[in-house]
Amino acid sequence: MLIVKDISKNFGEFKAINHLSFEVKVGDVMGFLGPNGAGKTTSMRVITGYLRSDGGTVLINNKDIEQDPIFTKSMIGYLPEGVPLYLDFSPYLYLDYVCQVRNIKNSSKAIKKVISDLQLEEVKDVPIETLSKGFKRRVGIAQALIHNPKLLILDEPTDGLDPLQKFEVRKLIKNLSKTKAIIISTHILDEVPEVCNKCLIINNGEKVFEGTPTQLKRKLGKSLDEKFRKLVS
Amino acid sequence: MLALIKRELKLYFITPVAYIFTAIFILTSMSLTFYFGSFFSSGVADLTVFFSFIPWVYIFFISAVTMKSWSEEKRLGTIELLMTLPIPLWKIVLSKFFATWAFVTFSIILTFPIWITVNYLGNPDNLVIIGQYLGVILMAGAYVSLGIFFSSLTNNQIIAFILSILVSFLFTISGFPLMVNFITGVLPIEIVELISSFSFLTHFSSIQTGFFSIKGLMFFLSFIALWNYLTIVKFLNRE
Repeated sequence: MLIVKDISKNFGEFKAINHLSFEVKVGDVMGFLGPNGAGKTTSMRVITGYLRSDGGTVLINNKDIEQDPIFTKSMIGYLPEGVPLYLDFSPYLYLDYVCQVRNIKNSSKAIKKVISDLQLEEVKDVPIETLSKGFKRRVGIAQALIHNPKLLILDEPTDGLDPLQKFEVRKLIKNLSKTKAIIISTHILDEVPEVCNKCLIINNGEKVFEGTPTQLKRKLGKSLDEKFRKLVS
Repeated sequence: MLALIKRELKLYFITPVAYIFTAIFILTSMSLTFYFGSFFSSGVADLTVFFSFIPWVYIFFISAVTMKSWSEEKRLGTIELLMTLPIPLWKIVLSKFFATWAFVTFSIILTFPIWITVNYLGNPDNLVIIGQYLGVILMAGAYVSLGIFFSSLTNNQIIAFILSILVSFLFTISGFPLMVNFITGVLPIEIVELISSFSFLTHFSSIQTGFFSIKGLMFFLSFIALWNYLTIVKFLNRE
């Protein structure tokens, strides 16, 4: 579904991503890990076409994102870092707009589905500005899911949620993974064995580990936190 | 693209901002016409006085309307959602321009009571007035395209506002008689002509008569195209 080949991205002298390659298939949930500033968000921005890479290729469904941006962008559902949303809109109005720009037929059905999947019924008509952090994040996930994308890229989807909401979102991601390729970035290591079947750790823009959560456990020390510290220090 | 334009317009009207802007625009243009333009005592039934104040009101009004256009998207981060939609960049940029232009046009149209007033008081040439209205709407597009470009440069609305005021002021004043007389003394006549040919006022004065000159029309259309093009280039080169 997604093939990332040797991508690099520099900001002036600073190498944000340095020859990074990986693959994600339908059915995979890849945990994307790394300390702050490792290049996770930049990588996601390159894959989604928000930033242009300085080298390498990104293929989505065998189409190059540079050559066919409209098609590849239509395959992606994306929750950017910090959950940017139009604060004056209500969730319903916002999702309705997303349906229109994405040309979704039968939009009321699509909106109904994501609103019920993410339990947004009670807040669907109040301005997003007044919502709690947890609700805002769920609206962000809803807009990423509404067009039923094949590739889902979520930048810290469970950040700021309470334990119950975290559980719900993880359950949702697991359910979705049957028909989609999913990348989630997170810095909550315990999340990885729970939802992911693959795991990629980067540091200073370079890959330091790729494998399954079990391999990661086997490779180093005892607790995940400890391994993580070893890998990135 | 239509959905994007609709969203932009909804964003204006969902809060009281649009109504406040429109009210201020109408109040300012009317009070300038009545107090400084001696609208009644001039004894002429036309709207030339009213239209002659419009460029000066635009400098502030349109800069205020456009300042949040891109800078707000940048500040909130929603630009990332916008730019990752399966829509070509030029459509995204133009939809912002057309939505803002439409909103400004809406404000201009709401000044119609003054048109009714001159018709009540005398017999103005209504064809000329229609031409003048079309002219100021076209000119508004030029100010809007410029303001949106400066909004795309920064995530700070105040900076966008001030830059837009400054540059649209320069484009407005460069053909103003006072300014032309001033620079005629300093610069060669060819340069003076070149500078004043870039002025909104020079082209606006041909609109003022109510009849479009092809030159004026081409000037404003290419001006709009240029600033929108610059905005597109700005985003193509984003890091």
